[in-house]
Amino acid sequence: MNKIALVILPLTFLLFSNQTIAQDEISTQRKEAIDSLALEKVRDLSRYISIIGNKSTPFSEGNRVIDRAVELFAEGSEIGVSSLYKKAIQYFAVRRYFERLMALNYDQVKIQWYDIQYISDLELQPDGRYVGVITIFQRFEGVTKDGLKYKDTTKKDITIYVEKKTIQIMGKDVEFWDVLLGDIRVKETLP
Amino acid sequence: MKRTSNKAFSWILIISFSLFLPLTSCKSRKKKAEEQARIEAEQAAINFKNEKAQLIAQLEKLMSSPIKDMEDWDNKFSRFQKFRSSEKFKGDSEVEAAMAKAEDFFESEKKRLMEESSQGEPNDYEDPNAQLKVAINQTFGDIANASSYEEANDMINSLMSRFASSDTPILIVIDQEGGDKAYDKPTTARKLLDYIKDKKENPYIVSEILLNRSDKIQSMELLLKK
Repeated sequence: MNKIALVILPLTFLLFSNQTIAQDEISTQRKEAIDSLALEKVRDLSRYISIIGNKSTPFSEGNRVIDRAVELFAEGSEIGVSSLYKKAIQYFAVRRYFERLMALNYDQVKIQWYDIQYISDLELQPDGRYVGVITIFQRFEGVTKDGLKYKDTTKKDITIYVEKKTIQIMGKDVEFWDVLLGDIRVKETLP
Repeated sequence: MKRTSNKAFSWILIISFSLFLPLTSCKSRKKKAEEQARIEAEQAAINFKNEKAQLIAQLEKLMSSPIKDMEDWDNKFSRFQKFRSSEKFKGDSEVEAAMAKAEDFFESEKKRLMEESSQGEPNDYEDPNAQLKVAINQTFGDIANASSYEEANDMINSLMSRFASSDTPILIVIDQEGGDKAYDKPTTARKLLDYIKDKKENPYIVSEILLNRSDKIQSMELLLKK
Protein backbone atom coordinates (compact mmCIF):
# COMPACT_ATOMS: atom_id res chain seq x y z
CA MET A 1 0.00 0.00 0.00
CA ASN A 2 2.80 2.33 0.98
CA LYS A 3 4.61 1.49 -2.26
CA ILE A 4 1.52 2.35 -4.33
CA ALA A 5 1.19 5.68 -2.52
CA LEU A 6 4.85 6.41 -3.19
CA VAL A 7 4.27 6.01 -6.94
CA ILE A 8 0.85 7.68 -7.16
CA LEU A 9 1.65 10.80 -5.11
CA PRO A 10 4.55 12.06 -7.26
CA LEU A 11 2.59 11.22 -10.44
CA THR A 12 -0.42 13.20 -9.20
CA PHE A 13 1.86 16.12 -8.32
CA LEU A 14 3.51 16.03 -11.77
CA LEU A 15 0.15 15.91 -13.51
CA PHE A 16 -1.21 18.96 -11.66
CA SER A 17 2.00 20.98 -11.84
CA ASN A 18 2.17 20.37 -15.61
CA GLN A 19 -1.38 21.67 -15.96
CA THR A 20 -0.45 24.87 -14.09
CA ILE A 21 2.61 25.46 -16.27
CA ALA A 22 0.65 24.81 -19.47
CA GLN A 23 -1.94 27.38 -18.36
CA ASP A 24 0.66 30.11 -17.92
CA GLU A 25 2.87 29.29 -20.85
CA ILE A 26 3.28 31.95 -23.52
CA SER A 27 4.92 31.73 -26.93
CA THR A 28 8.45 32.98 -27.58
CA GLN A 29 7.04 35.71 -29.84
CA ARG A 30 4.73 36.94 -27.07
CA LYS A 31 7.48 36.77 -24.47
CA GLU A 32 9.68 38.91 -26.72
CA ALA A 33 6.85 41.42 -27.16
CA ILE A 34 6.45 41.65 -23.36
CA ASP A 35 10.23 42.00 -22.89
CA SER A 36 10.23 44.89 -25.37
CA LEU A 37 7.20 46.47 -23.70
CA ALA A 38 8.99 46.48 -20.32
CA LEU A 39 12.15 47.97 -21.86
CA GLU A 40 10.00 50.65 -23.47
CA LYS A 41 8.48 51.54 -20.07
CA VAL A 42 12.01 52.05 -18.71
CA ARG A 43 12.85 54.24 -21.72
CA ASP A 44 9.64 56.21 -21.04
CA LEU A 45 10.78 56.73 -17.45
CA SER A 46 14.16 57.89 -18.70
CA ARG A 47 12.45 60.47 -20.93
CA TYR A 48 10.18 61.62 -18.07
CA ILE A 49 13.16 62.02 -15.71
CA SER A 50 14.93 64.10 -18.31
CA ILE A 51 11.84 66.34 -18.76
CA ILE A 52 11.23 66.73 -15.02
CA GLY A 53 14.88 67.57 -14.35
CA ASN A 54 15.15 70.02 -17.23
CA LYS A 55 14.92 73.58 -15.87
CA SER A 56 13.33 74.87 -19.07
CA THR A 57 10.31 72.56 -18.71
CA PRO A 58 7.22 74.67 -17.88
CA PHE A 59 5.96 74.03 -14.31
CA SER A 60 2.55 72.73 -15.42
CA GLU A 61 4.13 70.30 -17.89
CA GLY A 62 6.60 69.14 -15.25
CA ASN A 63 3.78 68.38 -12.81
CA ARG A 64 1.81 66.53 -15.46
CA VAL A 65 4.85 64.45 -16.37
CA ILE A 66 5.37 63.62 -12.67
CA ASP A 67 1.85 62.11 -12.63
CA ARG A 68 2.65 60.05 -15.74
CA ALA A 69 5.96 58.91 -14.29
CA VAL A 70 4.37 57.86 -10.98
CA GLU A 71 1.85 55.75 -12.91
CA LEU A 72 4.71 53.62 -14.23
CA PHE A 73 5.48 52.31 -10.74
CA ALA A 74 3.98 49.69 -8.46
CA GLU A 75 2.59 51.21 -5.29
CA GLY A 76 5.09 51.65 -2.47
CA SER A 77 8.15 51.61 -4.78
CA GLU A 78 11.24 53.59 -3.86
CA ILE A 79 14.04 55.23 -5.81
CA GLY A 80 17.62 55.42 -4.52
CA VAL A 81 19.66 58.63 -4.63
CA SER A 82 23.44 58.71 -4.30
CA SER A 83 26.16 61.34 -4.40
CA LEU A 84 29.92 61.29 -4.84
CA TYR A 85 30.16 63.24 -1.58
CA LYS A 86 28.04 60.92 0.57
CA LYS A 87 28.51 57.25 1.30
CA ALA A 88 24.92 56.57 2.27
CA ILE A 89 22.25 55.98 -0.37
CA GLN A 90 18.93 57.66 0.41
CA TYR A 91 15.67 56.07 -0.70
CA PHE A 92 12.57 58.12 -1.48
CA ALA A 93 8.98 57.27 -2.34
CA VAL A 94 8.55 57.67 -6.09
CA ARG A 95 6.52 60.93 -6.09
CA ARG A 96 8.80 62.52 -3.50
CA TYR A 97 11.81 61.60 -5.67
CA PHE A 98 10.33 63.34 -8.71
CA GLU A 99 9.34 66.42 -6.69
CA ARG A 100 12.88 66.68 -5.35
CA LEU A 101 14.26 66.20 -8.86
CA MET A 102 12.13 69.07 -10.16
CA ALA A 103 13.25 71.33 -7.29
CA LEU A 104 16.99 70.58 -7.57
CA ASN A 105 19.08 73.61 -6.76
CA TYR A 106 20.87 73.89 -10.08
CA ASP A 107 20.53 76.36 -12.90
CA GLN A 108 20.85 73.65 -15.54
CA VAL A 109 20.30 69.93 -15.21
CA LYS A 110 20.98 67.27 -17.81
CA ILE A 111 20.09 63.65 -17.13
CA GLN A 112 20.70 60.87 -19.59
CA TRP A 113 20.11 57.14 -19.31
CA TYR A 114 22.03 54.70 -21.45
CA ASP A 115 22.94 50.99 -21.74
CA ILE A 116 19.40 49.98 -20.75
CA GLN A 117 19.29 46.18 -20.67
CA TYR A 118 18.04 43.14 -18.81
CA ILE A 119 20.40 41.68 -16.22
CA SER A 120 17.79 39.21 -15.10
CA ASP A 121 15.21 38.01 -17.64
CA LEU A 122 11.50 38.14 -16.89
CA GLU A 123 10.69 34.85 -15.13
CA LEU A 124 7.29 33.50 -14.23
CA GLN A 125 6.75 33.48 -10.45
CA PRO A 126 4.44 31.15 -8.51
CA ASP A 127 1.99 34.06 -8.03
CA GLY A 128 1.52 34.31 -11.84
CA ARG A 129 3.57 37.49 -12.24
CA TYR A 130 6.71 37.79 -14.32
CA VAL A 131 9.60 39.43 -12.51
CA GLY A 132 12.90 40.63 -13.97
CA VAL A 133 15.60 43.24 -13.46
CA ILE A 134 16.74 45.90 -15.92
CA THR A 135 19.95 47.80 -15.37
CA ILE A 136 20.66 51.33 -16.57
CA PHE A 137 23.46 53.89 -16.37
CA GLN A 138 22.48 57.43 -15.49
CA ARG A 139 24.69 60.40 -16.38
CA PHE A 140 23.82 63.44 -14.27
CA GLU A 141 25.16 66.93 -14.87
CA GLY A 142 24.10 69.92 -12.80
CA VAL A 143 25.42 73.47 -13.13
CA THR A 144 24.79 76.11 -10.45
CA LYS A 145 24.25 79.82 -11.10
CA ASP A 146 27.89 80.39 -10.15
CA GLY A 147 28.98 77.96 -12.84
CA LEU A 148 29.89 75.16 -10.41
CA LYS A 149 29.45 71.77 -12.00
CA TYR A 150 28.48 68.47 -10.42
CA LYS A 151 28.70 65.32 -12.53
CA ASP A 152 28.30 61.66 -11.75
CA THR A 153 27.40 58.37 -13.39
CA THR A 154 25.23 55.93 -11.48
CA LYS A 155 24.47 52.32 -12.22
CA LYS A 156 20.93 51.46 -11.17
CA ASP A 157 18.88 48.26 -11.10
CA ILE A 158 15.14 48.45 -11.72
CA THR A 159 12.84 45.59 -10.73
CA ILE A 160 10.14 44.90 -13.33
CA TYR A 161 6.77 43.27 -12.63
CA VAL A 162 4.55 42.08 -15.46
CA GLU A 163 1.09 40.73 -14.88
CA LYS A 164 -1.79 39.75 -17.15
CA LYS A 165 -4.95 41.63 -16.14
CA THR A 166 -8.47 42.10 -17.44
CA ILE A 167 -10.37 45.35 -17.79
CA GLN A 168 -13.85 46.10 -19.11
CA ILE A 169 -13.95 48.59 -21.97
CA MET A 170 -17.34 49.48 -23.44
CA GLY A 171 -18.82 46.33 -21.99
CA LYS A 172 -16.11 44.08 -23.41
CA ASP A 173 -13.46 42.25 -21.38
CA VAL A 174 -10.00 43.18 -22.59
CA GLU A 175 -6.94 41.30 -21.39
CA PHE A 176 -3.73 43.30 -21.21
CA TRP A 177 -0.16 43.03 -19.94
CA ASP A 178 0.41 45.41 -17.06
CA VAL A 179 4.08 46.36 -16.72
CA LEU A 180 4.99 48.07 -13.47
CA LEU A 181 8.37 49.25 -12.28
CA GLY A 182 9.43 48.44 -8.73
CA ASP A 183 12.30 49.78 -6.61
CA ILE A 184 15.23 51.46 -8.30
CA ARG A 185 18.38 50.46 -6.40
CA VAL A 186 21.69 52.30 -6.73
CA LYS A 187 24.50 49.83 -7.43
CA GLU A 188 27.46 52.08 -8.06
CA THR A 189 28.27 55.80 -8.28
CA LEU A 190 31.26 57.00 -10.24
CA PRO A 191 32.64 60.46 -11.14
CA MET B 1 100.37 73.96 -29.77
CA LYS B 2 98.97 71.72 -32.52
CA ARG B 3 97.67 69.24 -29.89
CA THR B 4 95.83 72.04 -28.08
CA SER B 5 94.11 73.24 -31.26
CA ASN B 6 93.07 69.64 -32.12
CA LYS B 7 91.54 69.26 -28.67
CA ALA B 8 89.72 72.56 -29.02
CA PHE B 9 88.45 71.49 -32.42
CA SER B 10 87.12 68.22 -30.96
CA TRP B 11 85.31 70.10 -28.25
CA ILE B 12 83.76 72.44 -30.76
CA LEU B 13 82.56 69.44 -32.75
CA ILE B 14 81.02 67.76 -29.66
CA ILE B 15 79.26 70.96 -28.59
CA SER B 16 77.94 71.59 -32.11
CA PHE B 17 76.57 68.07 -32.32
CA SER B 18 74.92 68.26 -28.93
CA LEU B 19 73.25 71.53 -29.96
CA PHE B 20 72.29 70.41 -33.44
CA LEU B 21 70.96 66.92 -32.66
CA PRO B 22 68.03 67.95 -30.43
CA LEU B 23 67.14 70.56 -33.01
CA THR B 24 66.91 67.98 -35.76
CA SER B 25 65.00 65.51 -33.56
CA CYS B 26 62.55 68.30 -32.53
CA LYS B 27 62.07 69.15 -36.18
CA SER B 28 61.47 65.52 -37.11
CA ARG B 29 58.96 65.10 -34.26
CA LYS B 30 57.07 68.19 -35.47
CA LYS B 31 57.14 66.82 -38.98
CA LYS B 32 55.86 63.47 -37.74
CA ALA B 33 53.01 65.13 -35.82
CA GLU B 34 52.09 67.18 -38.88
CA GLU B 35 52.15 64.05 -41.00
CA GLN B 36 49.95 62.24 -38.44
CA ALA B 37 47.48 65.14 -38.36
CA ARG B 38 47.38 65.16 -42.16
CA ILE B 39 46.69 61.40 -42.25
CA GLU B 40 43.95 61.77 -39.62
CA ALA B 41 42.36 64.68 -41.49
CA GLU B 42 42.46 62.68 -44.71
CA GLN B 43 40.93 59.67 -42.95
CA ALA B 44 38.20 61.85 -41.42
CA ALA B 45 37.47 63.31 -44.86
CA ILE B 46 37.25 59.81 -46.34
CA ASN B 47 34.94 58.67 -43.51
CA PHE B 48 32.75 61.73 -43.95
CA LYS B 49 32.57 61.11 -47.71
CA ASN B 50 31.70 57.43 -47.18
CA GLU B 51 29.02 58.18 -44.56
CA LYS B 52 27.57 60.86 -46.81
CA ALA B 53 27.45 58.48 -49.76
CA GLN B 54 25.83 55.86 -47.52
CA LEU B 55 23.20 58.35 -46.30
CA ILE B 56 22.39 59.48 -49.84
CA ALA B 57 22.16 55.82 -50.94
CA GLN B 58 19.75 55.08 -48.06
CA LEU B 59 17.62 58.07 -49.04
CA GLU B 60 17.61 56.89 -52.65
CA LYS B 61 16.57 53.43 -51.49
CA LEU B 62 13.63 54.91 -49.59
CA MET B 63 12.47 56.52 -52.83
CA SER B 64 13.31 53.58 -55.09
CA SER B 65 9.77 52.24 -55.31
CA PRO B 66 6.26 53.66 -54.87
CA ILE B 67 4.92 53.48 -51.32
CA LYS B 68 2.37 50.69 -50.87
CA ASP B 69 0.01 52.12 -48.28
CA MET B 70 -0.19 54.57 -45.38
CA GLU B 71 1.42 52.10 -42.98
CA ASP B 72 4.35 51.76 -45.37
CA TRP B 73 4.42 55.54 -45.73
CA ASP B 74 4.55 55.99 -41.93
CA ASN B 75 7.39 53.49 -41.55
CA LYS B 76 9.47 54.96 -44.36
CA PHE B 77 8.77 58.53 -43.33
CA SER B 78 9.83 57.85 -39.73
CA ARG B 79 13.12 56.42 -41.07
CA PHE B 80 13.53 59.52 -43.20
CA GLN B 81 12.90 61.74 -40.16
CA LYS B 82 15.70 59.94 -38.30
CA PHE B 83 18.09 60.73 -41.16
CA ARG B 84 16.87 64.31 -41.27
CA SER B 85 17.40 64.86 -37.53
CA SER B 86 21.12 64.08 -37.87
CA GLU B 87 23.23 67.21 -37.39
CA LYS B 88 26.33 65.75 -39.02
CA PHE B 89 25.59 66.76 -42.59
CA LYS B 90 23.81 70.05 -41.87
CA GLY B 91 24.88 72.59 -44.45
CA ASP B 92 26.17 70.01 -46.94
CA SER B 93 24.61 70.96 -50.27
CA GLU B 94 24.51 67.39 -51.66
CA VAL B 95 22.81 65.97 -48.58
CA GLU B 96 20.40 68.87 -48.36
CA ALA B 97 19.45 68.39 -52.01
CA ALA B 98 18.83 64.67 -51.37
CA MET B 99 16.74 65.53 -48.27
CA ALA B 100 14.66 68.03 -50.26
CA LYS B 101 14.12 65.43 -52.99
CA ALA B 102 13.03 62.88 -50.37
CA GLU B 103 10.68 65.41 -48.78
CA ASP B 104 9.04 66.07 -52.17
CA PHE B 105 8.79 62.32 -52.73
CA PHE B 106 7.00 61.73 -49.40
CA GLU B 107 4.70 64.67 -49.99
CA SER B 108 3.68 63.46 -53.47
CA GLU B 109 3.32 59.84 -52.32
CA LYS B 110 1.08 60.93 -49.44
CA LYS B 111 -1.07 62.89 -51.86
CA ARG B 112 -1.31 59.91 -54.18
CA LEU B 113 -2.23 57.51 -51.37
CA MET B 114 -4.87 59.89 -50.04
CA GLU B 115 -6.35 60.31 -53.51
CA GLU B 116 -6.35 56.55 -54.03
CA SER B 117 -8.06 55.96 -50.70
CA SER B 118 -10.78 58.49 -51.51
CA GLN B 119 -11.43 57.19 -55.06
CA GLY B 120 -14.19 54.75 -56.02
CA GLU B 121 -17.42 53.74 -54.38
CA PRO B 122 -17.16 52.38 -50.85
CA ASN B 123 -17.58 48.61 -50.74
CA ASP B 124 -17.73 45.98 -48.01
CA TYR B 125 -13.97 45.71 -47.85
CA GLU B 126 -13.20 49.41 -47.80
CA ASP B 127 -12.48 51.01 -44.46
CA PRO B 128 -14.96 53.88 -44.00
CA ASN B 129 -12.54 55.54 -41.57
CA ALA B 130 -9.49 55.35 -43.84
CA GLN B 131 -9.23 59.10 -44.33
CA LEU B 132 -9.72 59.81 -40.66
CA LYS B 133 -6.95 57.34 -39.83
CA VAL B 134 -4.60 59.04 -42.28
CA ALA B 135 -5.40 62.42 -40.77
CA ILE B 136 -4.86 61.16 -37.21
CA ASN B 137 -1.59 59.41 -38.10
CA GLN B 138 -0.44 62.64 -39.69
CA THR B 139 -1.33 64.68 -36.58
CA PHE B 140 0.45 62.16 -34.32
CA GLY B 141 3.58 62.77 -36.39
CA ASP B 142 3.09 66.55 -36.25
CA ILE B 143 2.69 66.47 -32.45
CA ALA B 144 5.87 64.42 -32.13
CA ASN B 145 7.77 66.91 -34.29
CA ALA B 146 6.36 70.05 -32.67
CA SER B 147 9.03 72.60 -31.88
CA SER B 148 7.54 73.72 -28.55
CA TYR B 149 5.06 72.68 -25.86
CA GLU B 150 2.69 75.44 -27.03
CA GLU B 151 2.70 74.20 -30.61
CA ALA B 152 2.19 70.57 -29.52
CA ASN B 153 -0.61 71.55 -27.11
CA ASP B 154 -2.43 73.51 -29.82
CA MET B 155 -2.38 70.44 -32.07
CA ILE B 156 -3.49 68.18 -29.19
CA ASN B 157 -6.40 70.47 -28.33
CA SER B 158 -7.45 70.59 -31.94
CA LEU B 159 -7.31 66.79 -32.32
CA MET B 160 -9.14 66.30 -29.02
CA SER B 161 -12.26 67.72 -30.66
CA ARG B 162 -12.42 64.53 -32.78
CA PHE B 163 -12.72 62.35 -29.65
CA ALA B 164 -15.89 61.77 -27.65
CA SER B 165 -13.99 62.79 -24.51
CA SER B 166 -10.48 63.11 -23.16
CA ASP B 167 -11.04 59.73 -21.47
CA THR B 168 -11.84 57.91 -24.73
CA PRO B 169 -10.21 54.49 -24.33
CA ILE B 170 -7.19 53.67 -26.48
CA LEU B 171 -5.92 50.13 -26.90
CA ILE B 172 -2.36 49.44 -28.02
CA VAL B 173 -1.61 46.08 -29.62
CA ILE B 174 1.89 44.90 -28.66
CA ASP B 175 1.69 41.50 -30.36
CA GLN B 176 -0.61 39.58 -32.66
CA GLU B 177 -0.64 35.85 -33.27
CA GLY B 178 -3.41 34.95 -35.67
CA GLY B 179 -6.51 36.53 -34.21
CA ASP B 180 -5.08 36.62 -30.70
CA LYS B 181 -3.97 40.13 -29.75
CA ALA B 182 -1.87 41.12 -26.74
CA TYR B 183 -2.42 44.63 -25.42
CA ASP B 184 -0.45 47.14 -23.39
CA LYS B 185 -2.31 48.70 -20.45
CA PRO B 186 -5.19 50.71 -22.00
CA THR B 187 -4.72 54.46 -21.97
CA THR B 188 -6.92 57.46 -22.77
CA ALA B 189 -6.97 59.88 -25.70
CA ARG B 190 -5.49 62.75 -23.72
CA LYS B 191 -2.76 60.65 -22.14
CA LEU B 192 -1.86 59.13 -25.51
CA LEU B 193 -1.42 62.52 -27.17
CA ASP B 194 0.60 63.84 -24.22
CA TYR B 195 2.74 60.69 -24.42
CA ILE B 196 3.56 61.34 -28.09
CA LYS B 197 4.36 64.95 -27.20
CA ASP B 198 6.71 63.88 -24.36
CA LYS B 199 8.35 61.13 -26.36
CA LYS B 200 8.89 63.44 -29.37
CA GLU B 201 8.26 60.39 -31.49
CA ASN B 202 5.18 58.63 -32.82
CA PRO B 203 5.56 54.87 -32.36
CA TYR B 204 1.97 54.08 -33.44
CA ILE B 205 -0.27 53.53 -36.44
CA VAL B 206 -4.04 53.76 -36.06
CA SER B 207 -5.56 50.38 -36.89
CA GLU B 208 -9.19 50.63 -35.75
CA ILE B 209 -11.55 53.47 -34.98
CA LEU B 210 -15.04 53.27 -33.58
CA LEU B 211 -17.20 56.36 -34.00
CA ASN B 212 -20.32 57.27 -32.03
CA ARG B 213 -23.52 58.72 -33.47
CA SER B 214 -22.03 62.21 -33.46
CA ASP B 215 -19.06 60.96 -35.48
CA LYS B 216 -16.75 61.35 -32.51
CA ILE B 217 -14.16 58.69 -31.76
CA GLN B 218 -15.40 56.52 -28.93
CA SER B 219 -12.55 54.01 -28.99
CA MET B 220 -9.39 53.50 -30.96
CA GLU B 221 -6.86 50.72 -31.44
CA LEU B 222 -3.22 51.29 -32.32
CA LEU B 223 -0.46 49.08 -33.64
CA LEU B 224 3.23 49.52 -32.89
CA LYS B 225 5.30 50.61 -35.89
CA LYS B 226 7.79 47.94 -36.87
